[in-house]
Amino acid sequence: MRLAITVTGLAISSLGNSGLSWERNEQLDLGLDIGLLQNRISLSVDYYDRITKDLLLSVNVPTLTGFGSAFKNIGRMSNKGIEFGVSSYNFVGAFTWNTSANLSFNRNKVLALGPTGAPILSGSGVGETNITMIGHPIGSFYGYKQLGIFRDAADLHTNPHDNTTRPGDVKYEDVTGDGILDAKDRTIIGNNQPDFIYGINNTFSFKGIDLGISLQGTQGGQILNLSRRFFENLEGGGNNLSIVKDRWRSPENPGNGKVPRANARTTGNNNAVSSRWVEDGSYLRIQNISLGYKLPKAWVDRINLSQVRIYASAQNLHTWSKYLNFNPEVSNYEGPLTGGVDYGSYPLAKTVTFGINIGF
Amino acid sequence: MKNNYRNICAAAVIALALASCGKGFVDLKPVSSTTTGNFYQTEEDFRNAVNGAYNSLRAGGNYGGDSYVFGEIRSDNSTPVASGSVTDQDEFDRFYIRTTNPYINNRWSNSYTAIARCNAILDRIDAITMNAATKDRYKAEAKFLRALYYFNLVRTFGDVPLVLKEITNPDEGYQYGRNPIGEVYAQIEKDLAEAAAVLPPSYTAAADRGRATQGAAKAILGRVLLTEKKYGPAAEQLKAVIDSKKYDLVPVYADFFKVNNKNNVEAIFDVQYKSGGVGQGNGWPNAFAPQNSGNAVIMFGGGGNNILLTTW
Repeated sequence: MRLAITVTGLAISSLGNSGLSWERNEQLDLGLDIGLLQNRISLSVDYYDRITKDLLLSVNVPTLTGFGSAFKNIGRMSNKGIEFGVSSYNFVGAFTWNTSANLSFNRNKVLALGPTGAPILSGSGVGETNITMIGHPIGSFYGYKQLGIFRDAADLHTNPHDNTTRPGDVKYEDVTGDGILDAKDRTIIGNNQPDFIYGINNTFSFKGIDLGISLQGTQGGQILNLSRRFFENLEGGGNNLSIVKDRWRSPENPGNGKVPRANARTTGNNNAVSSRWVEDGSYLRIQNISLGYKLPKAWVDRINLSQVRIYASAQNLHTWSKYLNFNPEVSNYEGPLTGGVDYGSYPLAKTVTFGINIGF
Repeated sequence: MKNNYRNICAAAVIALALASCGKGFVDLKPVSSTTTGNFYQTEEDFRNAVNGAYNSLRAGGNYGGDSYVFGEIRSDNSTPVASGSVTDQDEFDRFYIRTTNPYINNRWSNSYTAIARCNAILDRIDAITMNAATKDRYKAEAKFLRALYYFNLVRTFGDVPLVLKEITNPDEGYQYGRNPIGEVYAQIEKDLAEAAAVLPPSYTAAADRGRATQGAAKAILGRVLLTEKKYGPAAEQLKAVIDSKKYDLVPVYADFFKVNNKNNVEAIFDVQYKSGGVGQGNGWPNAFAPQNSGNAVIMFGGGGNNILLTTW
């Protein structure tokens, strides 16, 4: 006898923490503003030094509690930085040109973590990808460090490797130096924090025409591009990025020393989270260009309107970057502990807008 | 003027409302969601909680999708399909399991999630006023399940932390270390013996199908004792199951596994699933359907994903 019986059940889905409190900040700010040439040029410099205490983070807890993670006030973090701003009226009069630019440097460092100071490993989708460790930026990338490609059997025999590794597979560093390559050899392999970020805005106007161009960029941040585990897997199951043309083919034809051999069967741990997937995420982007034309007042008055403006505007028109995936301004996983991981993210849309503003 | 009067009235009402705000105003428990603060109060709550502990049987690391990885992939009965860039099953097949393997992690964490559910029931039920016989049965069911989960853990990992009470603060987790295998088995035997003394030989209501019975507790206790090579006591438990006359062998061996023959006379303890695309189904048939067979053999993306049965 089979009856369609459904019964309900309930279970605790997350672990509470009655001792939680807000994060606390202590911040020092020093600023300087200067106006030159009757304020045609103004400069500003700001320095800040912020210590965040009782960081509120969802961190891994021993799973024997029945739960994988819980919110805790854990640790202390420092953010120090300096920000520069310039704005100038280059031309005033019939033709106007204004420029404003900014440049910011921020340095992030974890100062303390929990009672033991043990690092926090975090990740999603492909296991552990990031580490938050005292003395390093929050959410640094964590994995094996690629030294190169095993060129031949002799190279393989003289270096620690996985038992499925063959010539042409990825050579990782034995960080612990114990002659065995295992999960303990994972180390910090980069982070998403840029050296600096910057932006430039220019606006022009002449008669009824106005033009605005804004550029934005970052320099020195890195991205853990795990999408390449698929786009560069060399298994013959789908299209790969063109860089696989430089793969290892034989000891005599070893390619660029970074891309391993083609292999339909996944062996050699070539796709482990490693520095092989860490890329420079620097970019400069044309954030917005807008061009408008305001019809002369005499024309507008004749048809009893107060204002008519025709315009075209483009968002994300172009990005200059060496990054191999779509968008260098990426994070697939929410939260501060897993920043800068790209695992098949969507491209940013380019948007072009045409319009007419009419004022009655 | 009239408008002004209205504003004054409104202000007065707001002022009164503010004045009456005590500490209780901001210290309310959410009524729209269930929390450990408002749950575990009634017999009904505990029925739900016990069902929740059974639900863990379906978790991947327990009897859900992963268990063939532990039981079958390591043998020559089956081999995993080389899939994507993932070596997780291959590591089992060819015995180079990495410490980062997710199946290892799932068995551990799914087992302890299940055990936490059992512990919460056992810690909280004594304080509740409810039917005494039902209370005893719920406790016996929780002990039965806790023992089963520990049996899987100890066979997979050897020494494991023995958590026997509910953990409510994440920091408590750091106070546990691994207990020797002997202590874990002693607890499993104790839980199963106590469960067998209380659990009914069978259930009458259809909604209770799949709950642990006395026969199930004795049969698993027998299996535990066999695993410990305590053959005499094992035989004693298993003989009691046979002598209960509740079970029999199905005439055709293959019939035991047929989907339309669930909870048959040979099944002493079954994990319950429900077909019909309601999210309560069992993923095993999908895993074992021929590779890339789509919906030809089984609904909802048959095979292609996990396993090829080898025929030699």
